[in-house]
Amino acid sequence: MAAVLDHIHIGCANVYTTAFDLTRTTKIGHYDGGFGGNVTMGHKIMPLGGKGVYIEIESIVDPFATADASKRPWWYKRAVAVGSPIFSGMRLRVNTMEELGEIARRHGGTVNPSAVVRTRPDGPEARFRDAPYSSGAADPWEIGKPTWCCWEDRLYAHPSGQPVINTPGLMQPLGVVWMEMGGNKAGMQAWLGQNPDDLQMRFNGKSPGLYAIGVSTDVGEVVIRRPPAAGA
Amino acid sequence: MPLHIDHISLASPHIFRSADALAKETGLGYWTGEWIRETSVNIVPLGPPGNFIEISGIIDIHSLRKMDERKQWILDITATGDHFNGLCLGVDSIEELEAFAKHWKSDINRADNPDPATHFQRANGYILPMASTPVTKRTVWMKGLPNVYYYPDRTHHSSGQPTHPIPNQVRPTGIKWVEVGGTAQEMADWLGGMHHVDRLPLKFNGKSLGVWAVAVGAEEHDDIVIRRPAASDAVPVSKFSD
Repeated sequence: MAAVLDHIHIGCANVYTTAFDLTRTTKIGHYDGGFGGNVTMGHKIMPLGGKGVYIEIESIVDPFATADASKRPWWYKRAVAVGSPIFSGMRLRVNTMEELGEIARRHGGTVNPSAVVRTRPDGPEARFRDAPYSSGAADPWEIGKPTWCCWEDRLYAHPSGQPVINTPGLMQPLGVVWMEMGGNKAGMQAWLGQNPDDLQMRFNGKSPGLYAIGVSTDVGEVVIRRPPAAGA
Repeated sequence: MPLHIDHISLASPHIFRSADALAKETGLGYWTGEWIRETSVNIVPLGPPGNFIEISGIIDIHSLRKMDERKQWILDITATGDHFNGLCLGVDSIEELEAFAKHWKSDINRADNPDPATHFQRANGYILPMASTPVTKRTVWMKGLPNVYYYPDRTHHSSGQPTHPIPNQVRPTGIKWVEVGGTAQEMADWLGGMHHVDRLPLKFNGKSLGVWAVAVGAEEHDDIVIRRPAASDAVPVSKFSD
């Protein structure tokens, strides 16, 4: 089965202002996602509707764990450098670990031995596995390439399906209807192993990465545009 | 209601983790609270008549490239973990608040300041109107002393908002007592009379100034005692005596 879009990551310096500003400008709601397994990250989540898609907004919220600047994630440094939240990357979703393993092998790596774990504000952990992983290799996101994930527990309490904070004037998101990518279709098809048209990708020929998304809503289309992971 | 305890501030190096840990330790739920610039709070409602703990900390480390005395204090008191860093009293009229401002020969932080950057803000954009005194070059919390708040509209008070549901959640019934450093006389000197102190459920332990423990009642549950060191245990109040 072809992979589908699961989530888009926005890296930023202040997870509160970034989520608030995104809701204020798009009228799409968000909620508190809790904190990451490495305890330095705070999350906000913006469900986008459609077939289980969401934006994950993340930043460092622990001044001590990352006092050593070398421990700060590349996407955090990039967001600070460009003075804006960035589209760090995207993960596509497959339904089985077998599919994820197959994708990892095709890219000469493995499934990441460490699950991505987030502690939700109501206590339970949300976990998924991602690929491809290769010890010592750069994060594919850093060079503008999508990665893949497989959720445990059959998408139970998937982030895209949770209620948002009650906020005046919200619209109903109905799914991502296009994504503007750098690079070209042939290069992306070779990386994905599937037709980028399946994912409503458009290509602008610039340096690789995600540049913008179009979200269908009950009152029209919303465009979210942010600097990509890789420098233009 | 005369002078009472409104809320208590718990400074944290990581407010997400501290709120999760406190919920697991006590069964008290919390909600994702408010933020102002680089600081945010998670709120732990403690029940009627309207008390809460705010777990506060720095959530934008990029802001630390420009340090000031307050940020440095927050870092210094959280470097070794959570510390209680503020006792926040409340009154129910602007006249009472003005009386405290007069006692301290100070002004009032106005609830209707039109600059949104001066207010804590919630994720849905709501700003809780809140006035306080005294107005000082540095918060009196740094000296281990309480300040006083007045809310012109309490309908959205932080103590009354729904929490994230957590396993084995308990229903709090309000603050039973708060253990603070110093003596009753020191507190009376600050507040302007022993009659104020007598109204507050305070226990004095004679240690350095500030909050050391909070006891909370709970339905069908033993009292919950939350004990953390006072900020003055990490940074002596004498540092701010000028």
